[in-house]
Amino acid sequence: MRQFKNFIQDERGEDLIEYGLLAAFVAAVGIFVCYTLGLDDAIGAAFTDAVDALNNPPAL
Amino acid sequence: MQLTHWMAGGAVILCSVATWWDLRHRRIPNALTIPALVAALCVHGAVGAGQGLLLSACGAVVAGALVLPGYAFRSTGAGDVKLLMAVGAILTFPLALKAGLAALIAGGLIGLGVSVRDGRFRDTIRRTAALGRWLFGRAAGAPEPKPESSNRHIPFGVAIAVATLALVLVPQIGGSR
Repeated sequence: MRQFKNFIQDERGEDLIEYGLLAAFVAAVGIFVCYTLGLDDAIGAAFTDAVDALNNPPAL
Repeated sequence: MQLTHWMAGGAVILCSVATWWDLRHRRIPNALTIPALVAALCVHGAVGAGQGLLLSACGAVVAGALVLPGYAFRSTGAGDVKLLMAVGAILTFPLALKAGLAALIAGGLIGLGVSVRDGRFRDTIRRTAALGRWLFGRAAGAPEPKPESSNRHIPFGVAIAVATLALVLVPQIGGSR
């Protein structure tokens, strides 16, 4: 609860440079792997299935 | 969900104000991010009913989750996390995921640019490698002392704005309107 309160009160808008570089590197590798393995299509299809299931719930 | 004009406009206005504030005060006020997040959820809920609300909430959670580890390690400000959550709620899933990933990459590029400008490129790369070793070593259960921080920061709100603008203005990235 205290951590959540700290999170809400914290308004800092800056990022440590080395962490920003590391996060960018991880994001770039993640994007490359997703596209190379075709995971982006799989994630999109799974999400579409979930939305379709919500829109057309099975009859009880 | 397709990117609509109100979503694009809302994201651009939010990011413009946040960038101005971040550059000036290195803060992104709650008075900007929290109302934007709540308004996006309400509008998507009103326009798209349950599905709209779900996509908007997913967008906020996914975008926020990308930068939350940085906040947990005290490397990213919570203002940035809340701004990206608000942008994610406006853009909805899966555009929010693209916006978050693009913001991380834009943040890295801004960091590189700042390091080169300050003549501290080598030092930044060395510290980044040390931080990476520490994080992955920690995840693997190998205790290692935390590397010393450079205490040099970039306004990450600018990176979020650049990424969002690219996503909104370049249809090939963000999807057609």
